[in-house]
Amino acid sequence: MSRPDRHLRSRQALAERLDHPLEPAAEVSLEAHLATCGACRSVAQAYDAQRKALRELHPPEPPRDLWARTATALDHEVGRRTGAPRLVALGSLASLGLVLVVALGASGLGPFTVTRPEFATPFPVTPQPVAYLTTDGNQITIYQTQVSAVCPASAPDCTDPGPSPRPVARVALDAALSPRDLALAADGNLAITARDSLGRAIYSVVALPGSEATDTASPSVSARSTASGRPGSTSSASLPSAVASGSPSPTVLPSSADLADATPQQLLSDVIAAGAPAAWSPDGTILAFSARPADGSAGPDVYVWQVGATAVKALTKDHHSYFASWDGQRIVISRTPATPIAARSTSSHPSGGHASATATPAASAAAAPPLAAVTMLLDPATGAAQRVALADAWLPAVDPTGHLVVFWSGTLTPHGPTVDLTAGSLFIADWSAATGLPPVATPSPSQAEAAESAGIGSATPTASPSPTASASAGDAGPTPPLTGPTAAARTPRPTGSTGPATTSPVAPSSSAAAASPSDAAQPVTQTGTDVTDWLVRWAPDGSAYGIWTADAPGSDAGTLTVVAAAGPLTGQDLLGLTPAQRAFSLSDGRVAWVTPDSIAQTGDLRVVTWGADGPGGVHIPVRHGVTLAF
Amino acid sequence: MTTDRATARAFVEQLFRLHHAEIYAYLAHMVREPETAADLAQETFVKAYRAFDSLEDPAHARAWLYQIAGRTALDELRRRRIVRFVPWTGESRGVAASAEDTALQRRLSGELERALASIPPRQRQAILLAELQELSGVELAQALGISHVAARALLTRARESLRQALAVEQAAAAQRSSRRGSQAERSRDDR
Repeated sequence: MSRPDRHLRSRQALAERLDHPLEPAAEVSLEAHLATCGACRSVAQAYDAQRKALRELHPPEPPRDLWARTATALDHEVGRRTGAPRLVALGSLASLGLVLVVALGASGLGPFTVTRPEFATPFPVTPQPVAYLTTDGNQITIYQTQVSAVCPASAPDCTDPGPSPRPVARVALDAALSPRDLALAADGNLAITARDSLGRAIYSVVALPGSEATDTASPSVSARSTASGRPGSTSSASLPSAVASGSPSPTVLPSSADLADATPQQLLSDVIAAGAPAAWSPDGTILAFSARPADGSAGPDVYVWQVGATAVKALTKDHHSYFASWDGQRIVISRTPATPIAARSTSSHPSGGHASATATPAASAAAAPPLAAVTMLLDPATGAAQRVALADAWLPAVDPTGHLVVFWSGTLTPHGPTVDLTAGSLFIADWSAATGLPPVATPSPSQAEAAESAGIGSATPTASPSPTASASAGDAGPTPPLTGPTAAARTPRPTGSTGPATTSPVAPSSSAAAASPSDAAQPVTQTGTDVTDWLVRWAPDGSAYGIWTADAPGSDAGTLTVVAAAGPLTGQDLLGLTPAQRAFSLSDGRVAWVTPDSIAQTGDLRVVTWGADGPGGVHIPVRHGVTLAF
Repeated sequence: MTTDRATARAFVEQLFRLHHAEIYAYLAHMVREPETAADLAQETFVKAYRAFDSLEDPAHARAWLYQIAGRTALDELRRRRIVRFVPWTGESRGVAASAEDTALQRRLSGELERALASIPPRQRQAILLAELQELSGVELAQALGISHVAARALLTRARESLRQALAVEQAAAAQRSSRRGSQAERSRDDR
């Protein structure tokens, strides 16, 4: 283990020791390290001083009229509520010593100054379909609703006055499995990634009622699909353990008058999910994902399943390939150089989710030197591969118009058959400059202007190096199954050099002299500098992107933000940092997510809108068990 | 008013009596504006009334209330779009402190407040709940709305972020102090 790892581990242990006693062995190890490391002793002192200073902060006094204001607001709320709150057992209340009848005047909290709270009136917006899923034992139920009115941004918590959500389909699932990711194609094929208690993934597809899932011939794949074939045709949602996905979202579920049962078709099992969640091609004919054997015998490869096929097909065999997103009808993958698997790991990373590409504390990072990530485009029909000049980018999530890309950049270190991610941040860059191909759909002038004003994409195709590089998909692995055009090799920027791959992202210098498009990448400032578990989704028109980051690697709860990528608001938050469960869906003009709610064991479905109708928000009452929106 | 509503109202009123000061203090440190904190505290208790249904065990009411307050604070930070910095005049506890000590403590707490404001809101929540409000273990996880393991990890990251932010603040303060000293010296020389 390298020295920096020891220091980092020690500092983590120092922080942890403030909250709970360490294991005896860990305590001994920490003390031994502190005895020889002055810098870490300083950190220990800083932590102690920090605690002392925090505890000495004087608690601010609440204003004298706080009760009066609150009482008035409560009175107003009592008067307007039509539904009656559930009665809590009196015995339980008694355990708190509560007095059920309290005279307002007896509160003794000072004079009453009335401040009337604001209660918003919903206003109509362009109807927005929202679907969500609930779980109940071995059955998942998919609901759909439509948001047609929201409240002003000043009161986004108002309840949706629209009709109740209707159940669309029930899908039976082995009780030992829990759904982790969903991806919905326009024709109603729903891809479900579920996991068992050991973290092993099972990939299935189910044709939802009303859909026309038919056998499809091999899709006609071109270097780029047409604009009409792209956005809005797929939707994906992700449950805990997803990493990144640029899949456009959402669409309307197939219309079906009655709730119907659907049976899933199992595609692949006994594997560990890796890379971004499974996602459909824009035309909805091919499902792509990456996974590795659950026994740890090999690293991940990219798999595809074509609608109607009886089996999945391994698109790579190098065991170092991770599905990242779709770029038109081509698959974007991240790949690491071949690394020896010193110790065959059977760990399934049940908590981390993104089994390979596991975000872990640096303390557990392997001692091996960092790896340089390579981004490649794969043609699922021919297997042809093309390297993309995007330095140090991991799991690039390409916007559906092919103009921009959001990716993670940081330190990748080998970890058994996979890699660990540490000290990384998210960046946005010009994807078309990286590939040397024009965007699939010509970006709107506002998007192009916005990108320019934000400094994104100044590494234009003409200013950038040759966009294509050595392209054999097998060059990173023992089995080269793919061939493709060859071109000049790119020299990846060493990890740890200036640029994105640092713990503190710094806006790059003049990108005109950039060595690669990723040198012109801009940090996504909303998500900070310590991102290890995240999810990216793009609006179908590329006008906005949403980023969810986990509170801790593998955590179901995290923080969601949506940032404008086009128009006058480019770079600004459409949704500021908001607590959210991992699943969320982003459409043109709205985002839907589920709030964390550990108390009631059920989430709260929220929708925020923007655009021509003005900003607004609403929450959709869900009876129980909602786990994701899509 | 039905019995259910009366129960909910009385319950929230009792929660207010028990916890309004600490909830207000938490919100004040989160949003750094006393008046906004008061508004958010009011909103927190109204939301608690609305969400009365979701409280399964009144024994966990304090953590439940903190969770509502935390979400309300994050919503407010989102609505602001930009994070504004307003100096907080927090003072240290203690009796009979000398004027010098008081000034020092005020400076230190100012640095601490600025450092707190500079770390991610979720981390700020975690460390405020753990250190100021003294929530721990399951209660902390419930208040944050995350698992126990995730809460511990978040708190560890918060401590490290705050340490680094505090170091930056202290270095900046030292620089300002040095600059002021130089200016004073130049001023004397000019005279």
